[in-house]
Amino acid sequence: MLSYILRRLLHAIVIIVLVSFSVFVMVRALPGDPIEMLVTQNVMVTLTPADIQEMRHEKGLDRPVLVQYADWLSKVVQGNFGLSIMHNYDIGKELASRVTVSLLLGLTAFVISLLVGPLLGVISAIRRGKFIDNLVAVLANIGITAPQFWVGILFIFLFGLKLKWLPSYGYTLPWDNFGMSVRQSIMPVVVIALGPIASSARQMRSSVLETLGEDYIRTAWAKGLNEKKVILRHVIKNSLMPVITLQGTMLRLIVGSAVVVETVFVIPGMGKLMVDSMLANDYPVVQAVTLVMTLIVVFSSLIVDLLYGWIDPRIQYE
Amino acid sequence: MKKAIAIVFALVLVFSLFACGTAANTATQSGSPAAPPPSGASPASPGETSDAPSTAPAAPVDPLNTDTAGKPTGGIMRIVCTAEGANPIGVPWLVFGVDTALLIPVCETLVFERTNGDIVPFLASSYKIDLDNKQVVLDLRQGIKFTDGSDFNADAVVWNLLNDKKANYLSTAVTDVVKLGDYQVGLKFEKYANDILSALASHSNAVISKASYEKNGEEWAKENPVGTGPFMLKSYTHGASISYTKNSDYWQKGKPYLDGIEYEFIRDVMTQNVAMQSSGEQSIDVLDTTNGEQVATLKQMGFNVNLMPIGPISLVPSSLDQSSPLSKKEVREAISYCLDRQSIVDARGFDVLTPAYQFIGPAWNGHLPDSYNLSYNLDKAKELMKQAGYPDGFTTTLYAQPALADKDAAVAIQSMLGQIGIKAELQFPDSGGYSAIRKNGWDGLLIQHTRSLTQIVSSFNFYFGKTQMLLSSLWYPDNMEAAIQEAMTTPDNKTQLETLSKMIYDNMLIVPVYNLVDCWIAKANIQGADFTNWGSSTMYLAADAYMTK
Amino acid sequence: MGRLLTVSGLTTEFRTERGIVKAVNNVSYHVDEGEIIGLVGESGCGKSVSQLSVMQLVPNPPGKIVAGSAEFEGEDILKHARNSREMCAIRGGKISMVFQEPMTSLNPAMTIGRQMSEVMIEHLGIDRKEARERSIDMLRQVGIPDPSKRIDDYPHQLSGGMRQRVMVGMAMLCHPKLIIADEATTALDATIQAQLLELLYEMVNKYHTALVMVTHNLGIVARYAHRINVMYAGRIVESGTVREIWANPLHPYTEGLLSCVPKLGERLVPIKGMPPSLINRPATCPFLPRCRRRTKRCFTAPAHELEHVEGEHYVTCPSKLGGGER
Repeated sequence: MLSYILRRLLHAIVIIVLVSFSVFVMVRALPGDPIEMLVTQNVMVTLTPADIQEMRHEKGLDRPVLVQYADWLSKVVQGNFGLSIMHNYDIGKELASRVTVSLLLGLTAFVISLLVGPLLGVISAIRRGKFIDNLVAVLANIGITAPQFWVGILFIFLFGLKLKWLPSYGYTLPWDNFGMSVRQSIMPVVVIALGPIASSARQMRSSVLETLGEDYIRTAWAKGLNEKKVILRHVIKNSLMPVITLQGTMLRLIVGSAVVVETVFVIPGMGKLMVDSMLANDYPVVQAVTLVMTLIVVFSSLIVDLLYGWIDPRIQYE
Repeated sequence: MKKAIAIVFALVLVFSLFACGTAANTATQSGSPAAPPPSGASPASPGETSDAPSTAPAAPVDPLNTDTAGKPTGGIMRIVCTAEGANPIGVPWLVFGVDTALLIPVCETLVFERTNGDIVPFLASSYKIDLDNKQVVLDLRQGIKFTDGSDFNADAVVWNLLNDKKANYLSTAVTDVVKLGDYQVGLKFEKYANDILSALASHSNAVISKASYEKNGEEWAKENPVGTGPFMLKSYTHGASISYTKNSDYWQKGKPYLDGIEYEFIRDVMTQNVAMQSSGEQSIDVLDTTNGEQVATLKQMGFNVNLMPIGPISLVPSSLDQSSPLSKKEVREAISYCLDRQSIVDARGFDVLTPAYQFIGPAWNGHLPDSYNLSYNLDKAKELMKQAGYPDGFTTTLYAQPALADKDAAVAIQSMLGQIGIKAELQFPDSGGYSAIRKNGWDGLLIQHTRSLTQIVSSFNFYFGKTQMLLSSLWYPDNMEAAIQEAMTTPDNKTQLETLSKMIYDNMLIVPVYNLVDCWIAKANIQGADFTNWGSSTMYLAADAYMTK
Repeated sequence: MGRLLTVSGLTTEFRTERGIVKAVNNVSYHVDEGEIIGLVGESGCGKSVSQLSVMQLVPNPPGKIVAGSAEFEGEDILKHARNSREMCAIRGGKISMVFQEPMTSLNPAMTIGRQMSEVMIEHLGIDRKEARERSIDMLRQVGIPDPSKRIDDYPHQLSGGMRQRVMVGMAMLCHPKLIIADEATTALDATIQAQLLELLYEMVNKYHTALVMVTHNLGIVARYAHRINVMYAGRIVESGTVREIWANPLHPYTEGLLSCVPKLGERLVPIKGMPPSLINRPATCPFLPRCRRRTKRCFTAPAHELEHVEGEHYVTCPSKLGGGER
């Protein structure tokens, strides 16, 4: 088991290096140049080409790509992510606070979707064909197809403006003001979780239906267990496998693609940072964000795989 | 049957949510990402009429007024800002773009600039343009302290300005900054330029305490602005909000009236609108936007709207390329004649935009008499095309500037060009792509915001100056540079500006289409801030703002 | 020996797209305490479904018990709701079932120890420790080597034969009155099959448990059962003691079955034809198309009920009763 984890970590490092290098190269190949964009931001000042060249040199952008990469990598390993080209802030610090926010929201949404989704799925399956099943199916369809943006705005309108139950926007860290943090998190978390809940509910439903037809469930009935015990002890664990696979992929989507939610609810998270930095061709920020995202993806994969091992004893890791 | 009931039930749920809200059909575009700071002119020049359909701004406020009696105190003014709010703001010469607005409550500038270009001394008590000694002399106000207790004096100012110069935020004409006396500073130049003083109004050149910077180092200073302003930084959540609290030791006694100011970094238009309508902690008092649709919506909701014109959206041709039909003046003139500006504005103007008949609008010096106005004349356009040798037109490409060029207006332009045989492919590149096109050269027409800066000569310099690299495919006549230099270096440059405008008109260098405006929307109980009278550098008077009940 | 179970007129239907399938059609039989009953017939004749019906384990939808009763210990257990407390108490506690597929009949994600303990905790109310002890003991009884280690194994760590032993053990844990073995050895190979049958026989004798063996293998039945019920097309067509049936098979189908049993040196004589479709069956005798002894009357008369011949011997075919027309 230990050697398995070590091997996976080794894989992770290789992946991170490959991905970060590819991104490094690709982002420089894209049209648009950060120095250009930096200069045109400031309408007041007219610079000569010499000045611009000076700026490029200062930021180290005129060196060959491999040299730039090696330099960046060596600094990153020491924990130094450099400064943003556009905004001059310390990327490491900025990223830390943004990632914290995104993770808090994303993980909360993930956990909720992992609890609520399968629950709805089980209920749908065991009450198959009844009203609740049809209702969940329709709501799940809406949950999967409804654009986050639209749902977000709708929520803000309804719960923030009209009913005044929840704050319309903004975010506070839970250790700064727990009550406020919870109230501000409710809508964004729900919006993020909506899609994953819907998909995991559907997946769980079909998984449970499949499990219910298995022979060992018949054995469980034949042993005289009632419905509750059959479901809780025999059906759920065995039905979770495909759902966990699906949700494992959802994890990185939740953390990474919260861009829309962050924009609408004004939350200082990682998603917005990623998009803004890409639009501005702010290379070091793009690289740093990509690195963090790769780490998240790799780790969540590892955790999901370990989770399999726990759920299905037939799977062995050596 | 059960399935049908379930579907109906779910749909009823969804539609009832819709029914709860008022018609929330606001803008589809998101707020512009990091748009350059708004500037503008007010119809203050005597004798000129403005064609901007705005509510007439109040009489300009003197920022140094001592009229403090009877003004209500207290309250926190909350402003929407479309910046990302990620910059450290403690060191002004490292701050630029939209983020300079964040410095207004804490750090002050030597001079303020009105929208009509007037320079008002502020931290400087007076200024003098000394052409004989080739310097601009600034007398500094005495008795002002930074919030760390150190003195505001010539030593501090010189240190600040030299840093600004190194960061290229002073006018390029300034060669050196010297201390002439304990409270007197000189900016040296070889040739006088009109932007020397106006550059000082920018908050990138605001003044901070040299003592604190040297004691604590730049890293500390970036996070902790130590200025002379009416407020002090209270807390800053990157990407979310920034708040300032009252500076009780502010040098203008009796001010500020507010307890604090807060900026919320809300980039999404819908959320902004919701915030304007909210009450309590979530409410916003002031919103600044260039989005015509949003302004129309908010006007509908009953808010006061103040408009500042900020220059036209123009078609910028790749006229440098001799093989392109756009290098021919007749073709460019034809393009101008084929545009029905009024109908574009009727469709996408939301009662806020206006047709642009000249490069420089009526509010600025350099605006020419009506006889120079561009007009809509389809027959003339077709004839000019024939004259130019393109009776059947030609194919070309239109590139719309992201976030600023209205997509529907771009389509309208495309179809109007089609009327005279110009088959234009329409493209909407993203900001990276667009800036690359601009810099590396394009073949066709850019739909670009040609901003009218407060100091209008800077606009000419910016777009047509010899050192400009912004529009690399644009042609302009050889004698233009000299004309620009003359306008730059002559203090009273009205005639020079008119000469430049004529050059643009005679050669049809670019084709203005419609005017953008910057709109300030404030709740009725916000007074004294004097929005719309101050240029983008100054924006509003933080010390003079107050809230009525 | 006292009467344990009396099934009367059991009818189970399946609703399919093409019509209603009467998988079990008016089936009646009984089981006495400690008896071993064989229930034989071809695939699809309804023998498994009849037993699942008694346990109320028929998948619903599409199956449904539409008529009949099953008197067990004084009450008709078919009157209980399918998942009621009463029915659940009977399953596994009073009546156990061993299924055909050892490879898939155990939960792959649970140790066999837990699965065994589960049924005892459910019915006997003992605690985990006690249950575990008894499980280990039962594993020993069914011949699993090193039971105290293997009790914590997962099913995939056991072979098919061992798993089936576990199933048998599990069925016995609560000392039920009746065990239903539904083709319990069909999926195993011959030597293992023999071992398991011996084990089963030993266990039911030891605990004085009644056993219903559902199978299509007459050899098994002959060796172990006291009485046999022969099923065809959802009906019981003949029943009696093993001796009675072997000596004197009265129903043409039973005759055919006996001659199908392979004997060394002799030729196999198959029964011509196929079992009928059970969808919307006509009311005539189901064996009619394949019967060698059919008469003109058989074509118009409705299918017969079981009639007593002698001793415990009952049959539905009238041909050997009081002579028939040719």
